[in-house]
Amino acid sequence: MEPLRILLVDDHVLFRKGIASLISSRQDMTVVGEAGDGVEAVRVAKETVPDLILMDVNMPNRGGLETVKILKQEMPDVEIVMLTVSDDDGDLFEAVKNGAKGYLLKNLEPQELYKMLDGIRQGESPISGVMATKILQELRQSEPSKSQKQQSVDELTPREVEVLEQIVTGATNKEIAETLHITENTVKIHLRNILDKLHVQNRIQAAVHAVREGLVDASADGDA
Amino acid sequence: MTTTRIFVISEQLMFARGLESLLKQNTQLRLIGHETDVGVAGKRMKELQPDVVIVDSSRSSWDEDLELVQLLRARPNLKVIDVSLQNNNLYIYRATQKVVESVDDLIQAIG
Repeated sequence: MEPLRILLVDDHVLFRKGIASLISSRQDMTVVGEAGDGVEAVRVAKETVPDLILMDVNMPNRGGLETVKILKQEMPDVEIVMLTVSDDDGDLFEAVKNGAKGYLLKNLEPQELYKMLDGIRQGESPISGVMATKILQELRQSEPSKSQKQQSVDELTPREVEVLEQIVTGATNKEIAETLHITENTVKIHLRNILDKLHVQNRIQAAVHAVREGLVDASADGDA
Repeated sequence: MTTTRIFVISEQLMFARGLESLLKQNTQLRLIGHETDVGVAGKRMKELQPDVVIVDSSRSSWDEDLELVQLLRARPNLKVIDVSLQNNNLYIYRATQKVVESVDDLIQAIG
């Protein structure tokens, strides 16, 4: 398997070099570039075409949230995970809305970071536990209308609804496959169809949409 | 050849781990401990007796000078380097200030 090619974007030199050193100690990951702000991030991303970008939120010149939006428009296949000290709800939801696949806080142990990045290959969306809790708290405060629920349900097949229910609980593709007695590849196909039909970019957005629109029961919150 | 023993005080665990990974590349430097709280750090530093302490004061509500003065009173020969993660400056306490552009800048400050 080819190493996961990672671009690091953070304005603090020592932090960025430290993460680069940690990642470089792994055989299955490699740092292909670094950038100190959002403007440089776009330029280096286009040059190096990484698989994944680890992006800070607060940076000079252009911040991480705006940069995510630009990168997802110009390089839609690149995955972006925020790696930040900011546990602000607004930053989390804006990052996800702009297309970030995950949101991690800088209080992680390296082993947790590696595990989260490994999950990217499996189609998972890495979120620090405290941020996942914030998402669920936000979802529980939303009350969808009946007509909205019916319209969205009509778009999804019964199997797709089952897969979506599992996604809302935080299940991985492998766990969904085991629960529904289907293959992981089939789960990925269903997930792709769900994302297309709901007009969202990743499973986090799908989960938020599903609970907000009342497609699934938000009281089943899994491990988050 | 003596090894410089370094203690890190930072609320960001990943910063401390990254710093440890960087310092490992220099055989004359060794990170001997990390704490997120200055009070706890002070006690551990009395036990461990580091040569250098690297402090990240950026996310804390410290009265920076008071905390650092207390550290210095406890160990007058201790070198304190503030690597404030809000900018790319190194503050070598009460001595000099320089902009960090690479890891070598930190290594030179420690040395």
